[in-house]
Amino acid sequence: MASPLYHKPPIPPGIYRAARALRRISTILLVFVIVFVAIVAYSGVQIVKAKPSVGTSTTELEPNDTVAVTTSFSLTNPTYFAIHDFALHFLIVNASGTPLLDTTAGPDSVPAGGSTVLPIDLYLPVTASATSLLTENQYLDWYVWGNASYAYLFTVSVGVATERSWGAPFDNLTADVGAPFMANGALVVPVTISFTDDANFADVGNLDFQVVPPAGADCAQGGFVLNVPAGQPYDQTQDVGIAPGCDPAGGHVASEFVVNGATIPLPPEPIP
Amino acid sequence: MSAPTPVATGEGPPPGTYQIPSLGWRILGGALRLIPLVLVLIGIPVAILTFLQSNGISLPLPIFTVEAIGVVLTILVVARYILKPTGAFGPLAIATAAVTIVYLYLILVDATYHLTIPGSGVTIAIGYTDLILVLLIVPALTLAAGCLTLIEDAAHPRERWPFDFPP
Repeated sequence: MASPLYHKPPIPPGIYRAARALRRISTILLVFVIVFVAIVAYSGVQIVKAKPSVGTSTTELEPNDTVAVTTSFSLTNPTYFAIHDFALHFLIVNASGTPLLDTTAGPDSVPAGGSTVLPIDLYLPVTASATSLLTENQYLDWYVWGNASYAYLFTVSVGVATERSWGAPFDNLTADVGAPFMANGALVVPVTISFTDDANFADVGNLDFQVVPPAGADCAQGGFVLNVPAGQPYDQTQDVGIAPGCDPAGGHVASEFVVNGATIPLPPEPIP
Repeated sequence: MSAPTPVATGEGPPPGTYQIPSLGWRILGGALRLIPLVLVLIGIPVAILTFLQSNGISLPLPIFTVEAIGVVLTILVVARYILKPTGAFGPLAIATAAVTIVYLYLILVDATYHLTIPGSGVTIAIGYTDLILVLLIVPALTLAAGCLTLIEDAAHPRERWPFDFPP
């Protein structure tokens, strides 16, 4: 039995209760979103503090006529939110504006409290319009974007544009063809190959060459066995037999680097 | 001598079941609300945008837009509080929600913040489209609540007084 001193408060009408409920829900949602954003901001700082890092890189000539730059990117996620669709995009352009490489590493996901190591394999072509990478030191424009979605509600993109120097493995390659002379009863011609290995890898392989006249069959051919450490110059002369009556003047020296079972053509050197 | 018996006149709850503050008190309450409202809707956003602008960082919204919408929202919220016992409460609640939706829509149109660090070649872009879409639920709910209040006030004037202003 209810107390005669207590009067049960009247129940509000349904429409009033509905409006009140909507207002309360909106207030709760607003508070939740504000707290959520604050936690996400704090978590983002923790990811930066975990210091994402780039691993050691290696560079070498590959059989598919490319220079492979191999490295990795480590990302630790010490927060309560997963990182989704994490990918790195690379665009490398040479000084003349020709795109040399446009590739993507990933996408990958980093679970909350986890980490990932994203392998990065960049294959720079050294044929066609990019043969200058073999023989000319130059600056390349690197554009790198890192994209990810975080905490379900945010997308983050960090782009870095840098200009990086490229050391050519056969920088300033020259092939000089000297005057023919008789040696041991045969007509020979001295061919001098010189260059500097300005790449950060050694030139280990064979450098084959042909002395090509302006017209007709090759005058001569030969080869050098290379083992040039990174950063070292190379200058060697080889006397090669020349076909009788062949005049290389006005022609060119065609050369190719044979490495790892691949043959990489080098730019021709004209003969005055 | 017995106490006067409240006499119900027309529609509405009987006297004694509610206690509406006087207009003066409501104006005072509205004025007190001005302080946090101006701070949150105008002061802090404009201060942040001004700081960004002074450092050469592009702004996601023009400062004037933030100021104008902040002033309108502040006026609407204060007016809604002062006029809560009247039939204008519902329309003002709807107007407040509508302006908030427009405000969020303006932010949503370009919901990617671009930050370029001068001289470093580093560009950071943060997209918050989904966040704004979630936030849009808040004024949408208050808009619906305002509509319900408008309907209630039209059908049963002063019906909500005992619950909004209990004695």
